[in-house]
Amino acid sequence: MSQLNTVWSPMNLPSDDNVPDNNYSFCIDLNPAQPWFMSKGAMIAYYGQMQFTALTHGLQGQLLQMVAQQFSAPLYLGDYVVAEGQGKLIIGDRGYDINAYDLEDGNLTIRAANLLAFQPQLSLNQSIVPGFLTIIGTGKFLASSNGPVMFVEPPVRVDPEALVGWADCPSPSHHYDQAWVNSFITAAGMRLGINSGEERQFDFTGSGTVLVQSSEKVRDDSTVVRTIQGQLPGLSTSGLQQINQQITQQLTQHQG
Amino acid sequence: MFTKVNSKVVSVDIGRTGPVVARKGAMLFYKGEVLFQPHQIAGGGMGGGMPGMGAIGGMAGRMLAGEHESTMIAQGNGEVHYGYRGIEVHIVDLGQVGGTIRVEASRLLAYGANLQASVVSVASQGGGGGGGGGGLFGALRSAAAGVVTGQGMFTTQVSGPGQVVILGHGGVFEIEVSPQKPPVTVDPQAFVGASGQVTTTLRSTVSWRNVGRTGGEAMQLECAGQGVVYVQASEEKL
Repeated sequence: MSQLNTVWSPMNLPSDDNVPDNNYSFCIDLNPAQPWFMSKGAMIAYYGQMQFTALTHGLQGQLLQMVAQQFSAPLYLGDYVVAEGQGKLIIGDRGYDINAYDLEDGNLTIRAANLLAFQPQLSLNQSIVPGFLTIIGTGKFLASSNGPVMFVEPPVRVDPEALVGWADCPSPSHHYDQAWVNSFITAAGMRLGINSGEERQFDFTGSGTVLVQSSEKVRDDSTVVRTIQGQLPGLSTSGLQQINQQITQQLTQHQG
Repeated sequence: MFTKVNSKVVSVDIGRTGPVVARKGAMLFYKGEVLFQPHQIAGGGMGGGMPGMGAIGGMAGRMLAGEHESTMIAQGNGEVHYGYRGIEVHIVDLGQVGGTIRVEASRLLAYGANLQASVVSVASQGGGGGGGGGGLFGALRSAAAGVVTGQGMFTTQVSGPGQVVILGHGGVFEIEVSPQKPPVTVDPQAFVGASGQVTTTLRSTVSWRNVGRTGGEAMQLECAGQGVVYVQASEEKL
């Protein structure tokens, strides 16, 4: 009845599919002709001979060329590794549901924290929406989500924390609830960058598909920090001073 | 009224059902013209407090009691989806369980705005509609119990005809409590809430005989009366 009691071996593990009856893990069939980009720490077990190489150092020859060509998201270089070799690779992520998507000459934008692995035939680009990555091309990728993914058609407004990604539709714009924005408390909250309420949504229009999950607590703000850091070189002196002032102000608030 | 989309998400068409109150930050996405506004739970100083419900006055009091979650009311026309941090949801039809449910505010995901929510003392539990209160001694006793169970001194009571959506880590299941059946004992950390006329008593199984050897099940919550107890499949706090 349940396959949860099955003892798995390279013989009966699936090929590029979820482990039967277990949405939380996925088995990739790795072979020398097909390396994968993989989120750091997503590997939970593997059979065979495999090498996991960080993108930031240790890459050589063809692999380096592949990364240079396909991975144009410098902010996220440290978050991914290349898995190459031969065998069965099982991955998992925080007990989240894992889904495989086949992209055919398409483009899909996904929250960076939810992108688990993808084939190098796809090219990865930083989305203009902070914290999101755009995948373009033809190939397979794996995404994790807190609970099953819900596919919604625009027009729809989505809570930023619940948004997994979107495909074939224009990038979203911000929507603010008028009544909320007018209140002073929220204005202060927005300045602090804390938007846990319903006052701000992503507004999707046009045609396409929006991917939504049950909202998750954002694990860490490292991508936000990196996004801000990436913007800093282009700023003027007065702009930098303003930010410096604001940061100092907030730091004293936190301490006080 | 509420529809379960999957184990972690509910949807509601507020154009048909009327306004819905939900925990702040629980809205996932919506279609249509919907307006979200901060909502004040009854029992506070503002927004139609309900005197005599065993409620304590003022926001400060509620914050002290730990029984405070900001809520938002959704009004307008459209379909709204709710979920919270990927925690499993459970829909309770109050009409089927005696019209009242008591849960911690942090476990309350959403309910129809036509329902009445108030903060009541744990001491008035099982008093039927929370009317009587429990006197000073009752309050003190339950305060002690509340600290141990992590429930606090106060709990949120929702009553009226309609549905309430509650959160339970790992999923919620219902256990029937009735005088005709054997008593039900629940792990305090797995206890989510209760509906109907249920009294909860905290019991310690620690004695001089087995100090430190209780295997972590030292505290148990005994449920008696008539109603339903909601238990989550985990000991995780929200």
